[in-house]
Amino acid sequence: MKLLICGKGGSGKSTVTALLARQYAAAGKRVIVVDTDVSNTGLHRILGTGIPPDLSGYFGGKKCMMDAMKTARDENLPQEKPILGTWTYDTLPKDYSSIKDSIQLVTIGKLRDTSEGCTCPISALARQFILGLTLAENDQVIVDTEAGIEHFGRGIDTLCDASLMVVDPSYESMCMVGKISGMAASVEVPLFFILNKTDAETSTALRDTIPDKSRIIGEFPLDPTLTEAGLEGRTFPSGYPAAAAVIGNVTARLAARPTGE
Amino acid sequence: MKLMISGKGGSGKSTVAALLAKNYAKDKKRVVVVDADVSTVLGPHRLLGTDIPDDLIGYFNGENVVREKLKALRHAGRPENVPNLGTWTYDTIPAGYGSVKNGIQLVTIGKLRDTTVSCKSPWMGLARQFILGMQLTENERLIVDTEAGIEHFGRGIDSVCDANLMVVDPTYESSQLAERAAEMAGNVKIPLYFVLNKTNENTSRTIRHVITDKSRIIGEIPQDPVLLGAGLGGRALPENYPLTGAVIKTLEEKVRGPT
Repeated sequence: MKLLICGKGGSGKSTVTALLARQYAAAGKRVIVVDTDVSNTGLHRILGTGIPPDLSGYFGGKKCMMDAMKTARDENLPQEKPILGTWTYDTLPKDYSSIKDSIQLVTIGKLRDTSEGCTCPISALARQFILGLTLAENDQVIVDTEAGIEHFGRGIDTLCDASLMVVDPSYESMCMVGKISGMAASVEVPLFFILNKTDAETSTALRDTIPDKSRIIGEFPLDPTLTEAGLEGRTFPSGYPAAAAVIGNVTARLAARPTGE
Repeated sequence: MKLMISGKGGSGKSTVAALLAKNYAKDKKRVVVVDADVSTVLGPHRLLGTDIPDDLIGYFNGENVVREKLKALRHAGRPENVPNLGTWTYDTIPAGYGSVKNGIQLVTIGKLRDTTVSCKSPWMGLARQFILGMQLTENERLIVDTEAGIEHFGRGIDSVCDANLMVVDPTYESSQLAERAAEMAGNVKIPLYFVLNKTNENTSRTIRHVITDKSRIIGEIPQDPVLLGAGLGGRALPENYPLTGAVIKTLEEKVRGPT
C-alpha cells in the first residue's frame, strides 16, 4: 500500500509519517519512506535512519532528469508509464537510501543554495519514483509531502492508495479541511483525516468543523514526550497505540471499498 | 523598507507579519502586506482585520498569461532588477486587489484553487515583480508573508527585499532551517535576522544553543495564549504588542540606519 501524508505546514506530517513507519515496521512490514519536502531536513532523526543523499543526484541532477522527462513527453509516453525506471524494496538505487529496522528512507531532493529556482524537477522526480516503486505484499510506502496541497496538482496523490491529511488545531488547518473536502469529489484517491496535537477542547472544535466525520480515522493527542523527542532528535517510539489504530482503520477502510471504485 | 518574513510551516510567519504590520500602523506608518503564500487557504486577513482582496494574479489575467509574460521577459533578456509588469504606490494598487483597514493594505498574490495546478512559478514570479514594482514613501513599509520553507530564496523574492526576518519556533526543523538560511546568507545580499516564536524558558535556551550566529536573533515572542487564541478563533491580533515594538526598533536601526 502507498500512503500520502499531507497537511498544513507545522501540522505534524513528519511526526505522523515517522510514527506510522515505526508502527508498520514493528508489525513486520518493510517500509519505504519517501521524503518529497524540499525544505525540511529532520525526518531521518525521528525515523532513526541516517541521512541518504538526494535521489536527484542518482539521476545526474536536475537538468538530466528534466531532459529525460522531456524526451518522454515528446514521445507521448502514457502518464502511467514509469520513465526513469522501476524499483522494489530490495533494488532501490544503491547508496541513495538509508535503512534502519526495515525502514528505508529516500529523500528526493533538498534545496541547497539560493539559485535553485523552480522546484518542478524535484516534484516530477518524486512522482516518477513513486510511480516506479513496485511493492511486495509485505511492503509499505509512506510519502511525506510539502506543506499545503500542491502535490494534488502534481499528480502524486493519484499514485497512492489513500491520502491522509494531518489536521492540527489551527484556523488555517480547519480551512484546508474545508477546501480539500470540496475538492474530494474531483480526486479519485480516498481522503482521510488524522487529528494531531489536540486536547479535549480543540478535539471537539476540530470535529465540529469537519463536514464528513467519517473521514476521521485517528487522533494523536498533544504528547509532550513526542514534542521533546522531536526537538532533541530522538527516534520515535514503535508501538504507539494511536498509530496502530490509524493503521488498522486505514487497512479496514480501504478493504471495505467496493472494487473498481 | 521591504521586509520578507520566512520560516518553517507553522512557525508563525503570518502571526509575526500581522503583529509587525499592526505595530507599524499604530506608529502611523502605512503598511502593504503581501501574502505570497499560494499554499494556504486563507492567508493573514483575519489576523490583520482586513477583508479578503481578490487574487492579484487575476488582475494580470491568470496564471497562464502571467507564465507566458514572464517567459517572454526572460527571453527578451530584461534585467532582473527592473520592474517589468508595472509600478505601484500604496494609493495606486489596483482597486479590489488591495484590502485596506486602519492603514494596512493586504495584497494576495494568489492561492492554488484546484487540484490541477502544478508549477508555482507564475505566482512566485508575479510576487517578485509586484514587490519590485512597489514604490514606497518614507512613511511606508512593505511586509511579505512567504511560503513555508526556503523555496522563495530560489525564486529571488529575497533579492527584492531589504531584509529577511526568519521566524524560528521550538522545533528541530525550524532551528535547522535557520542554520541553513545562515549558511546560504553569504550568497544573499540582504541581511538575515531571526525572531524566536512560541518559546518557553527551556525551548528558548535550546534554540539559542543551536543557532550559531546569535547576533542574528533580534527578538523573541514567547508562547502566548492570547495570540494562540486569536489565531484559532480567527480574531485580529493586538496592535500594540510590546515585543513587536522592540523587533521593529532593532530592524529600523539595522536596516535603515540610525535616525
